Parts: sequence; C-alpha cells; structure tokens
Amino acid sequence: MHHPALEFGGWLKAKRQAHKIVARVFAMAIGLSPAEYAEVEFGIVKWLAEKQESLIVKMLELGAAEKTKFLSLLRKAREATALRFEMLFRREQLEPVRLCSPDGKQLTKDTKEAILDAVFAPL
Amino acid sequence: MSYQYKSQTPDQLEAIAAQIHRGMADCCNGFVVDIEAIVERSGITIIPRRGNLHRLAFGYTARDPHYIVMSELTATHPPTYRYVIAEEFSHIILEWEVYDGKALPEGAQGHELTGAQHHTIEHEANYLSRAILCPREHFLSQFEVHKADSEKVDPSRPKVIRATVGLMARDFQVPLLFAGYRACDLALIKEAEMKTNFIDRIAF
Repeated sequence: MHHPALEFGGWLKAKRQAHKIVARVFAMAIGLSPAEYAEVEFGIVKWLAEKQESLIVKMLELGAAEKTKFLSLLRKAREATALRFEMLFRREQLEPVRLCSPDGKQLTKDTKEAILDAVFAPL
Repeated sequence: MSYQYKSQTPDQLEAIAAQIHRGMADCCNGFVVDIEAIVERSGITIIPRRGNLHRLAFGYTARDPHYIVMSELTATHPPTYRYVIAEEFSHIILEWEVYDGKALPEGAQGHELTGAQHHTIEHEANYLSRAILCPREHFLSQFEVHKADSEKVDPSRPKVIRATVGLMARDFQVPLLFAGYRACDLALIKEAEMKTNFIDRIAF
C-alpha cells in the first residue's frame, strides 16, 4: 500500500535508526508515549503537534534541507486520508504465539482473543 | 503429528547468547546490552499498546515475526521492559520454524502445547534472555567485585547475596530477581538461597 503517511513514517524511522536512538527513548525525548510514537512511525501522524515537530528537528539534527523535506512529508501525510491502527495490521498478523503473562499461565484461545481486542483498541 | 520443540542445553543457550553479542557488539555498551537496538537491527519492530493489554500480557511474540507487541505500561520500568523484550526475542530465536512465515506447525500454538512443552519453552527462553542481557564473562567478573566489596561491609552470607545481586541488577539494568536467577544459572548462588533471600520478599 502506498500512502504519503507511510512514506513519512518510514522516513522518520530510518532517520531515527541512523541516529542510533531506540524508539522508546526517542518517544520520551519528543514528548510522546511509546505507543503514540510507534503509531507515528506506522504513519498515524495525529500525535504530532508543533512541539513534537520542533523536537524531532532538534533530536535528529536536521539541517535546512532535511527540515524542509521532513515538513513536506508531514504535510502530505496530514493531507492524505488519516490512517488507523486497524487499517495497518490484520488480527491474524498480530496473533500472540508466545506470551509473557502477569500470572505466568499458558496462552488459551480466550486469552488470545482478549489480547487482540486490547491490542486493536484505539489508544 | 504433535509439535516437537528442540530443547537446548544451558551451554547451547550460552553459545547462542555469545553469538548475538559478537554479531551486535556495538549494541553492548559496557555492562548494558541494548536489547531494543538488537531487536530493531534484527528487523523486528516493537509495538507498545495500552489499556487492558497489561492485565493479559507484559509482552508477546506475534504470528508475524517482524513484531513484538508490548504493554506500554511495562515501559515505565525500563529494566522490566528490557527483560520482557529479551524473553520474546529469545522465543523467536529458539523456535524460528514457528515464525518463518509459513503455516504454524501443528500443535505449536500457545494453547496447543502440553504443560511440559510450555514449561520447557518458557524455561529456555527465560534462560536465553538472561544470558543475552547479562553476558556471562562480564557477569562473573562483576559479581566477584561486588561480592568482595559487600563482604567487607558485612560478611553475613544473606546480606552479601542481597547487596551483590542488587548491585548486579543496577549494573546490567535488569530486574532484581532477573539478576538473582542469572547468578543461579552461573552457580554463583544456590537456588535455595534465591528462594530464601528474594522470592518470598519481592514481587517480580
């Protein structure tokens, strides 16, 4: 699927990884939670406000040309149809196979469905 | 035909961890192994999600091997976040045939495993996660340093164990019990000492 927001998310992820910053740390640095930032890299750009835009430029040390590209990609992402998590993943794709559970118990069919319901619930 | 999990010995699990450390040497900074960077470099994306997930799972490996799904709440305690990611990554390594994108082998789904299979698979993934986050040689040498220092303060064995394991957890940025179990893996403390000094006292 080609979509401007996917292009933006992919570009941002590549830049972050080139700076050797893991997603969780980058999220905190730009004032987002880990779950919100993960969605940004998937192309769900609604979490990015002016604050995040300026912090991303700062954290990734974007020069003038790269800053222009960043803002251009972001603008195109915002102008396109907004993506949602359930549009990007299928339940089967994120089905749990092995689990670290609070009670240490084995995965069951019922737990599997409850987990998927929780994962696909909007943030 | 039911699923046949290929069990690994502790030495084999240590060798797998050592191979990861060699291949991802720039993700190992002093005592701290950057497991999130290792996972990303392996082509796996961590997906933190919220809400009710935390009551059901701290984290899990997804059917698509490119994703590890995590409860976002776990990220509020980075040592635990790191441990869960390491454990899920270990599952992918140890059961690659389950994750290679083809149909799941019959009997391999989580709810299809026998109790014994579940226990073995979890035990070995936990062992490998400890071996990855606490590289053997670093752990052994640093344990001796902290043990010697602790003995100077108070030579009583229980106090030495609790102080030493606490410092190891700090140095390697892992949960306290995780460091304790690693010390057991490497025969630095006995399992009975682990149970006396930690399990009944602190929730993991």
